[in-house]
Amino acid sequence: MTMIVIFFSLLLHNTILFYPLFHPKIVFAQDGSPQTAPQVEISRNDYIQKLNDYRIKESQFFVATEQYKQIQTLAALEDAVKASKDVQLARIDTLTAYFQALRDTMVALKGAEVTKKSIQVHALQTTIIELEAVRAQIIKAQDRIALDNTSTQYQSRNVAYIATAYSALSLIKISNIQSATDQLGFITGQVFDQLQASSPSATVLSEKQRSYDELSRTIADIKTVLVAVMKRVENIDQQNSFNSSSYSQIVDTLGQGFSKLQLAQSFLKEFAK
Amino acid sequence: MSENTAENQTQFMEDQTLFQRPAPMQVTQPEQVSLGVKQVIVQKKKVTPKTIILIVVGVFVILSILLMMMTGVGKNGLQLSPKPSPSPTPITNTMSDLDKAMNRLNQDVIAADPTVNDLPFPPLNSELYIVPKMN
Repeated sequence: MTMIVIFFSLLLHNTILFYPLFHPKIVFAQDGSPQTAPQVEISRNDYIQKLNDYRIKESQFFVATEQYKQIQTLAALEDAVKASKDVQLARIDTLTAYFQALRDTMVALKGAEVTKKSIQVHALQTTIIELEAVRAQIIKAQDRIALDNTSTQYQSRNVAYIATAYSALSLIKISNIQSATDQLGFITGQVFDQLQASSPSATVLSEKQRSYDELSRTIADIKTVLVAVMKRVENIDQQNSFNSSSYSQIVDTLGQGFSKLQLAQSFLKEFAK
Repeated sequence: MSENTAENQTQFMEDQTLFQRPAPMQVTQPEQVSLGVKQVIVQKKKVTPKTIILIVVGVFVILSILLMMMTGVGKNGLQLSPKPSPSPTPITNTMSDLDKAMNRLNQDVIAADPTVNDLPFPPLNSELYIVPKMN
């Protein structure tokens, strides 16, 4: 009886402790999903929070101005002035948080040319400093006229803010495709090297060589599209005329490169089999 | 007459009582039979040391086979010398690296979709005036 108990204990011990080690089917794979930089996440969450706050202040402002229009009393004017100050501060805070999120995304960006990246980071940082100055003016403003003036100032600068944002967004989109294309080219080279090292038959090598050439051509096509888009972005930047429309055109052109990237990815999956 | 004048005075003890039905004769038989059956059952339930050894050996053999199947010892024969842990071969490593690289590429391709913009310019009202401007 004691022997049976000992045997069962050993069996259980071996099964629990050593079964996973000897059994090749059990694999504890690591999660391959890319980790987003924490700073980028923090700044994006902050931006969303500020935008929600702005929406509340905006509706309060509309209520206060509507009351002032209707009753035209000093108390209503004071409420409207306070609401205007609050909403303008919330607007500046939202925009500042947005540009900070863009700047952090740009800093963490892979695949971007270093010079272009630093130019964009500098432009975003300059805009953030400018917005801080505007914020200080809003805090100083005490009456309706001063607050309406700061609002006018904001409106006149809005086009420049939009241009800075879309220029940065364009570079982010180009760099994302560039990064994925570089990675695709690197993996393709690795797979082909492994294949050659395994000394395959002439038929297999010939077939794989054709696939490799096709992949290389597709990667070259993507790079051509990216160069063309980058030139276009530079032209728009020089004219300082970036807006949602020009950004949409950039996205459309990038779509061709992205389609080729997806095609190349499917080629690579076949090639690596 | 001879019955009533029996000289043996203790015989009535063994005689049947008048006006009483004679007890069935087979009353004693079941006792004898059940005793026999009990003896047979007791004999059947009695486990000999030989049976115990056989059961133990049988269980041991079955469990040994199970253990060998689970640890894969049976595939290459029982190795008495300590088996070195299998070192990862370069091919396995390369394959897992390749899989990881492919996964990363897949994530990057998804993130590279230009039509997806997770940071569009904020929808802010640029005309926030207490008294609207007259253009």
